[in-house]
Order: sequence, then structure tokens, then C-alpha cells
Amino acid sequence: MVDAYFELDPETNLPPEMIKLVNRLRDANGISNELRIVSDSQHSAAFTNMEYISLSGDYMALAMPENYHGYLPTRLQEDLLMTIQHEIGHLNVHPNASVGWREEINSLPLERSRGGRWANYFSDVMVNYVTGNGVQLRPSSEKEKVASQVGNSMWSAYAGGYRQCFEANSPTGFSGQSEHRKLLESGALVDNRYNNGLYDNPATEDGLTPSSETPFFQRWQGHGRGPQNYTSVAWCVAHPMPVGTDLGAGAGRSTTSQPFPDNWKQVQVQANLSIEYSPNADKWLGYNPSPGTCPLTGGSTTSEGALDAGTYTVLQTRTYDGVLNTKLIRPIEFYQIDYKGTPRWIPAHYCLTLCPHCGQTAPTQFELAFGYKPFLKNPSFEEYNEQTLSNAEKSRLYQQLINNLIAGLYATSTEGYGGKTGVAAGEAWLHDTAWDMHLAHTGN
Amino acid sequence: MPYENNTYISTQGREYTRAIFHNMFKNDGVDMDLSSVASIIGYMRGNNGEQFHQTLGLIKQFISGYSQKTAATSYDTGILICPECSRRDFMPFWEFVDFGFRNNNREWTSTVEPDKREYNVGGDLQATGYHIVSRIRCNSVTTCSECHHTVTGKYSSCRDPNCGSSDVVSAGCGNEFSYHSVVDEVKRSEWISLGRQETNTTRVHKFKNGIPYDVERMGLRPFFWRIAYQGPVPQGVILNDPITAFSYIPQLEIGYQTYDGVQKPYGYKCPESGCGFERYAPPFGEPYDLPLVSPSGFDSDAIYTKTGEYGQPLSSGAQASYNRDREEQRGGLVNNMGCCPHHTDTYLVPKVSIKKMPPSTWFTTDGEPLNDDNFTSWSGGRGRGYSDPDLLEAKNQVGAFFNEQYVRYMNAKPESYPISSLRRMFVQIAKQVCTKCCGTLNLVVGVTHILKTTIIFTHLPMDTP
Repeated sequence: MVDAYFELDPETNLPPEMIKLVNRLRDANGISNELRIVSDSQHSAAFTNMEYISLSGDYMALAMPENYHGYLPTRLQEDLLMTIQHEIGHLNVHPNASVGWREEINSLPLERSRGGRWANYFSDVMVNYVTGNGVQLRPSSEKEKVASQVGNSMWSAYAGGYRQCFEANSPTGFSGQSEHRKLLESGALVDNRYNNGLYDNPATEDGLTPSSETPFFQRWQGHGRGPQNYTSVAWCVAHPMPVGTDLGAGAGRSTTSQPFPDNWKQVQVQANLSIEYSPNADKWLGYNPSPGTCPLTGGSTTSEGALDAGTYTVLQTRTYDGVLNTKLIRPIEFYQIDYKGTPRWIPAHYCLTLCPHCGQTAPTQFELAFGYKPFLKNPSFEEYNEQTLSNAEKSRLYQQLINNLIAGLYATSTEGYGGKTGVAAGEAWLHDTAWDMHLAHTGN
Repeated sequence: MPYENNTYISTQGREYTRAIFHNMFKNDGVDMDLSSVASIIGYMRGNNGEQFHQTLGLIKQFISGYSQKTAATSYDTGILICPECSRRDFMPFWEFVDFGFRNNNREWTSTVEPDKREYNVGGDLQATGYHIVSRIRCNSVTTCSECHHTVTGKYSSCRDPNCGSSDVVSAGCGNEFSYHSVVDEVKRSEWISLGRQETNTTRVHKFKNGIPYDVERMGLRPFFWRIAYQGPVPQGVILNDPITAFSYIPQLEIGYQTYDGVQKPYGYKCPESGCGFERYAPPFGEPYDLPLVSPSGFDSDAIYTKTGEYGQPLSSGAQASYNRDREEQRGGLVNNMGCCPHHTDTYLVPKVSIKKMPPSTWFTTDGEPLNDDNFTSWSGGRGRGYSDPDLLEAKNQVGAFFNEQYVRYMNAKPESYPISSLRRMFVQIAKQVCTKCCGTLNLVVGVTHILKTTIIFTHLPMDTP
């Protein structure tokens, strides 16, 4: 048993499309392990015990198309695969799978209390790297297609492909969930809940309260129930908005092809900044311990003036390898924002992207890893506060995970990085992200 | 902080970052190798997981959740590392072979009077105390890989009855090394009760007009030093509390005397006239044999006349004897101070001698020394009350006789200071561990999915230096 107190039959608790998806991936991976639905409250995500494919409610919600907005159908198909493929990967890719999870953790040169966390991070990097390249898939006519789809979904999940409005990863906690419920009830949003909000086998006559007999997935579908996912700001800058997208603010679904409106391209700058440009490094700096001198090259910098914290619309984006307004899903290093009527380039490090529907922060996983973390700035506080130390460790481990995973993805991608492919592409990525890694580490 | 030595933008940091990448992802230097899952994962792990462990070590250089302790907090940890085999254990598990005082390099061949002063202990740190050099043998120990308990000796399974795992590792190469410590006058009880922060409870006890009082350390002069050692932890014994842990590491014993010559320990001397031999500690490194509770044969009449193997009077510990003779009373004696080396059949006698013969007025008709019970007018009292001045005076004399012996008891042994505060031993809190999911998550008490919990006392951290 996975969880004796919480064990649900997937046949009646998953939507039929998701069961098909799971079966397709099981077949492509050549495995027959059972799927189990587990509680989300402790594990906050999917997890594995090396025997079952385990899926919690909030992760299940990531595999529901109704919870995605602004997506093209092809891209949506890819992103829906990611969660389940990741969990399957823990079964057929997981390091040390032959001796099991517990033994693996115990073998790490770490205190026991930290072993689980560190093992998870390493395991996740390797699972995502291997499944992102489809190495574990069995030979079949589907292999190439599935490998390509899962590869794209890895970029989407970890390189800033979508933003999520819901829960505690956001600085505003679960306010995303409650705000979306309010907007839905006020008519500002198109109802994307199962059966317009009415549960099967409800606990109350109005149908709005689920019972233990209600299929579990219905609790996680739609505004106010599950996490809502939106294409990234960079995607919205470079692509037109698909017809049928919920525009928000009571405007209903779009009926013509058009650019994404400004509320889909907004970021919140987290700090008052003094921007400098380093021509030698070709970087805009929001923090410089030696103003006037580039901390990376030693060359001189030019001041581009102060920039106030606040909410701004993004005009253009630039990747770490200098691609403007990339159509691929790649990490963004700089945004050009509309700063009080003037275009200004700023480091994306200081920005959190906002939810197009409710306007609250809805960061991507990449932003969470590489973003501005002022709580890490005070080393004396950090040294003496266990909670802060723990948070710092989590944050910095996650940085490492994302940085290395993306290096692996660049090194195995056909497009490469900055004109380089293979090992050189991965190394170049790691070289170029060093400054942002340093900023994220030090809280600057 | 480790990160400051290798920031991501430093040359060292970039090398580490590159090494992590190459350790994690199999490649030939140009192209990535995606040939098979086994090949990729096998490469990442390396033989016996060695490459994986190396990668972890590299990543730790960037993760300051692993905070490097400053020199000040690393000093006097109580952790010893064998320079030969790199075994690392807390001090009570090591076998100390010999000791010596060392004041400075010019005095290393001579007998020295130990000198308490400030010593440089490295890293611009100064420590005040006595400089002691110990010889330590890397003895045999067994550590459980499951519960991480360590015991001395070699065993094929964990000695903790709650564990019993056969996943154990033995260590101990037999080589010797030296260990330097600067020992300040802080007792083990002080280290423990005050969270290893210093205080001062050293006293010499005096007696005046029938009343005991104390002289604190500032009014004392040290005159006696000995290093006592009863370790290491006996073979196979699980160590679970700090008081016991301290008892298995060397102790610097220091004797003090007041300006007017009252000594602690009060010492023994040869009774032969003209000999002048004195001894302040039991011979052969023995601990002081001094009963804490009334020895057998000490009855309600407070008569105690047993003698030891040399015919020496045996101690009644903290209890005063009221032997009705003119021989040595027994309160505060030490049993094993031995004989005079010059007069081999002559046992040493206490320098603080109490030989007064108690008069019959000190006793009740039942033969017991007078005490407060004799002054009540009810239940069991003799009913003569406080109005009898002779009786009252006799009772006070009995009390003074008790106090005199009690002070001798209090001054029988020197003060004892462990050579280490064991600063990093027993300092982590017990943690609840879920044994259901993976046995490694720290959980908050009350979390609903804990099906079975166990308490683990954290022992030596396992992160590599």
C-alpha cells in the first residue's frame, strides 16, 4: 500500500483522457506498474516508492487540459505528458532503482535528515534528463514522437515555459486559488470546472460540495479548484494568442487570432534598481558591488538610471544566448519593459511574471530557481536561523537542479546554445548563468 | 562560508560547476552519450557510487545550508580524527594512552609546574587553561550504519537492542597520535547544565566555630595537578547521555589551597616522625575511593570501625562517625591512599585528623548521637525540649563534630575538569522519523501520516569534511 489512509481507484477517479495518457506512456516506457492516487497534503506533489506510479491531486491537475490557458493544442499535448512521464521515470530511470529508494538515500554522504531532500533533487535531474531525451522508451513507432513531446515538455516545465497561479510556491500563497474562485463567481472568467462546477455524487443538493464518492479529479479541475497554468510571458511576446483563449476580465473567449493582450505580458519588478549596462559582458546589471566596473569582465559599465519596483508590460525578451523574442521555450535573461513610456532592458532575475487573469504573481519554475531572493542576503541571520538555513538549502539545491538540467537539455538539443552543440553548449550555458546563479545564491 | 571561496563567478566556482556537469552527464568531451539508461545512470553513480558522492561534495561547496563552522566554534569539538586511517569519533570512544603537561618549547625536557595561561590554538584564536598533550591510540570501534551508534570493540551487529542491525562498520587501525588540549577549570556538570558555557563553582571548604563555609576560586592557589582517566567507554556499551560521556574522557584534577593552608584534597602523610612523605591522590592512577552513601556496617549509632587491607580505617563518606575511641573518625576519609613508599608497612594517615572522643553526653539513652528528634515533645522524641541548656549545648557539639567531618569529606578530592567540553556531542535534538516512507524525513509531531515513529539521537554528523 502507498497510503493506507488515502488510496483511490484510478479507474473511477481520473478522467478518461488521463487514463488513456497514462496507458500510452506505460506502453511507450514498457512498464506495467499500477497508478495510485495519493494525498497531496504531505507530499505536495507526485512521488514514487519505486513500485507504483503515484500521483497526488495537485500534480494530477497538471495533466488536465482544462487547467491550461493560452496554449496551442500541440503544445498542450506535450505539457500534459510531463508529470506522468516524470513519475514513470522514477521507476525505470531512477538512480539505484535496483536496490531501492531507502537504500539510495542512506548511501548518501549526508545527514539522514537531509538525505531525502538531496536524493530527490539528484534523482529528479537524472529522471528529467533521461526522459527528456526519451532514452528509457522502448523501441516502437511511437518512440520518436513521444521523445520529442516529452523533451519539449521538459523545457516547458523547467526553462520557464508556463507560469502557474495557485499555491505556496507563489509569494502570495494559495491566494491564487481563492482569487480565481471569486473572479469565476463574479462572471469575470469562463467556467472551466467539471460540469460547470457541479460535482458527480455531490455531498450537497446544490452539487457544489464533493463527497467521498465524487471522482477525485473533479476537485482539481478549473478556476478556484486546481492550479491554473498560463503560457509564459516570453511565449506570449513571440506568439499570437490561440482563438478560444479566455481573455479574462469578463471579456470571454477570444474569437479572432490576435496578439496576446498586455495583461498576459506583465511582470512585477521586485526591487528598486539602478541599472547598468556592461558592453564587454553584454549584460544589464541590476546589482553591482563596484558601480562603474563590470564584476564579470572588469570593464567599465554605463549607467542606465534608476528603475522603480512595480508592474510593467514586457515588450521584448532575450535569452541567455542572446536570442530576441525566441519562439522556442528557453530561459529568459532580460526583459525589455515599457517603463513609463520608455523601453528599458532589465535583468529578468528581478521579475516575477503575473497571472493574466487575477494579476497576482504566478512564477514559472525557472523564476523560482533563478529569481531574486532577498531573504538570502543577510549571512549573519542565515547562519543562526535554522529555518532560514533550511530554506536557503532548498532554494540553492533547486537552483543547482534547474541549472544542470537545462545544461543537459541544451547539450542534447538539436538547436544547441549560442551556436554550439553537445558538451560545448552545456558548458556555455553554465558559463553564462554564473552571474544569475551568484545573484540568486547571495540574495542580490 | 564555503561559498565565498568558490562563488559561481570565480575561477574555482566555474571549475566546480563544470565538474558537476561532467560528473552528472555522460559524455566523451564533445558529444553527450545517450546510449542507454543503464549507461547514463551507471556513469552518474560511478563505481560503488563514488562519482555520485564526489558530485555531492562539489555541490556542497555551493550550498551554504551546509555552513562551515568558524574556527571559534570548531575548536574543542570533542571529535578526534585519526591521521592514519581518518576514522572520526567522539572523544569517549578513543583510548588515551599517556598524558603530559607542556608549558612551552623550552621546558619540554624538564619537570614543570603546570602553568595556566593563554595559548594560541590556531586561526588567531587564544584559549586560556593548562596545555595538556595526550597520546591516543586508534582503538577498535564498531559503528552501526542504520542507527549510527558507535561502541568500542568489534561486533558483527549493532549493540543497540532497539536496532540490532548487521549493517555495521568496524574501524581502528591501532596507530597512535597526539592531541593537544587547553583545559580550563570548568566541570562537566557546568558544561552540561549551562550549554557548554563557562561558569565558576570551584570551592575549597573551611570550618570555623562549628560552621562550614566556602572559599571561592579567586581566593585559592592551585598546588596539585593530576590527569585522571577511566576510559574509553567499556566495550559494547551504548553511550546515551553526556554525564556518562564525560566520565570516559580524561579529567584534569587540580587541588587548591587557601591563603592559610586549607587544602582540597587535604592529603595524606606518613605518620613516621621525620619522614615527611605526603600524597594527595591514590597511587597507580586509581580514582579516589570515597563512599557517596553510608557504607554497609554504618548503623544508626554512627559507629563505624571497619578497616582495610593495610589495617587502615575505612571511610564512612559524607556520614560522620561517632566512634567512642580516640582513633581517627571516619567521615571524609579516602580508602585507597596506600602506604608510605619509605616505610612500606605503614599506611598513610589523613593530614586533617579528627580523633576527638565523643563524650557520653552526646548520645541518647539508646546510644544514638543527639539530633533534632531528641528535642520534640511528641512521637518518638525524648521530650526534654530546648529548655535544657546542657542538652542543647551537647546537640550543638554533635552538629559541629558532624560538620568537621563533612568538610573533610568535601575537601577529600580535588576538583575535576574534563579536558574537552565535547562541544559538538549531544547537541542535536531528537528527531521523529517516519519509518514508513523512507526513514529520513524530519516530521512535525502531529503530522497525520506518521504510522510509526522512533526517536533518533543524532550522533556524529556524517558529512565529509
